[in-house]
Amino acid sequence: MLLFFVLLIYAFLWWFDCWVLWKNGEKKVFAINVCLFLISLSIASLLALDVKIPSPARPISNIIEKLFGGT
Amino acid sequence: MRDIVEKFTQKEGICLLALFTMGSTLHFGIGGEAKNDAWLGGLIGAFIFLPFLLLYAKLLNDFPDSNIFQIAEKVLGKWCGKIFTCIYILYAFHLGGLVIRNFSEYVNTVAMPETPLFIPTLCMGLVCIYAIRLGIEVLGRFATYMLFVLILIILVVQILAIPMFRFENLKPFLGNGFSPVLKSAFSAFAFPFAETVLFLGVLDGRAKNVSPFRIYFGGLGIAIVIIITLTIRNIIVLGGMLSNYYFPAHVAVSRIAVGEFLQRIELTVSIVFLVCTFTKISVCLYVACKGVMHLFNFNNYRPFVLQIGLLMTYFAYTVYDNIMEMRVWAFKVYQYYALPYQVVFPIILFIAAMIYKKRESRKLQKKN
Repeated sequence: MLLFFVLLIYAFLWWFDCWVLWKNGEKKVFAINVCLFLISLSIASLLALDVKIPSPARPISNIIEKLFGGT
Repeated sequence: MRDIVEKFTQKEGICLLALFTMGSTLHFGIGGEAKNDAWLGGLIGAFIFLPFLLLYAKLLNDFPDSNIFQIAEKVLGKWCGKIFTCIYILYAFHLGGLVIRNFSEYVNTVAMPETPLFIPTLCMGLVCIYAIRLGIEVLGRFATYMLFVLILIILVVQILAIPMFRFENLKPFLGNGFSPVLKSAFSAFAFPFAETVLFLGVLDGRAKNVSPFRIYFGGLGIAIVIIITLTIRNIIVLGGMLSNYYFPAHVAVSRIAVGEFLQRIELTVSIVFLVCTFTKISVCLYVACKGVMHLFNFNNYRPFVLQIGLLMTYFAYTVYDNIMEMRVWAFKVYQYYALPYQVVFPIILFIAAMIYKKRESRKLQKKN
């Protein structure tokens, strides 16, 4: 159900944000925007499906701890 | 696509910088490790930041009408400049995400514990997306109006808190030695003072004849006075318990009660926090979008605001598991993580800019 809502919202965002760029002939901007749109849609779908997305915070903390000792 | 020209005045720049610096610091407080000497840590942190303030402002002064991305491409060459741009897009994106999470954790902890964390996160993200789609000028005007309202709120709350002041809480001075104070100074340097490195991506939009030195000194001056005053207030109200709270300012103000008719004024603190975090997130989003614009040689950043803003929101939602992790990151990890962005890369850029300037003047001399 949540996934359905996410897809519905993104369908609206496609029309609102991306399609306008295509219609205005801004193809390069459109291409970059579509890439960002797809990444955003994938993450939103994963969140809707309750999939845990790994955070960069812990690897960064580990690296810093290795470099500077116990922070 | 039409070119966008956005200019803001000196006053708007100062207010924007002040609100950005106050950001989430007002709630977290500074230098928790130093306990009742935290205010001294903050002052030393601000003092350590002074040479970097001059460095950031000098870069902007030497390259008027250019931002950090354009300066990097000019002085480091095309490809190194692009790598530099990517680094600062990442930093702006990461910082924006962290501040959104600070805000949503605050809302979740003090006001809406039953509401899913994603709701305040998304709400804040959407408001910032809307603001940046309207442009940085709008944010500048918003900052100009709001800073004075916030100063008024802070002053009134400060006066109302006077009956709870226990000046003995400031003692013993340097009771735990100088080492915790130095640690807290380092922490205060990185969060929030040196975060203003992101303004290298904003201040190219200043109107002509506006000195970046004035904006940096003015904005940071206001922010430092407010941050240190509120830190001292928190210490003299809460004493040694200061570092035990996630949001010490909220707890300190929640104790204010004037008779039976003036209570629960911590709401005013929430307004201050809301305005400051909104400004900080919006600036981060703006810099990230502008970075993407320069990376791909476009002349408008607005088409990317929605998607980058949404990604920032999702990042904020997934970055920490809980508020404890957020606090550990903010006070123990962040200062080391941010060091390259705030110190190393600007110094490299500054040295490269000096070499570039010398080379240019030599070329000019040869021509003449």
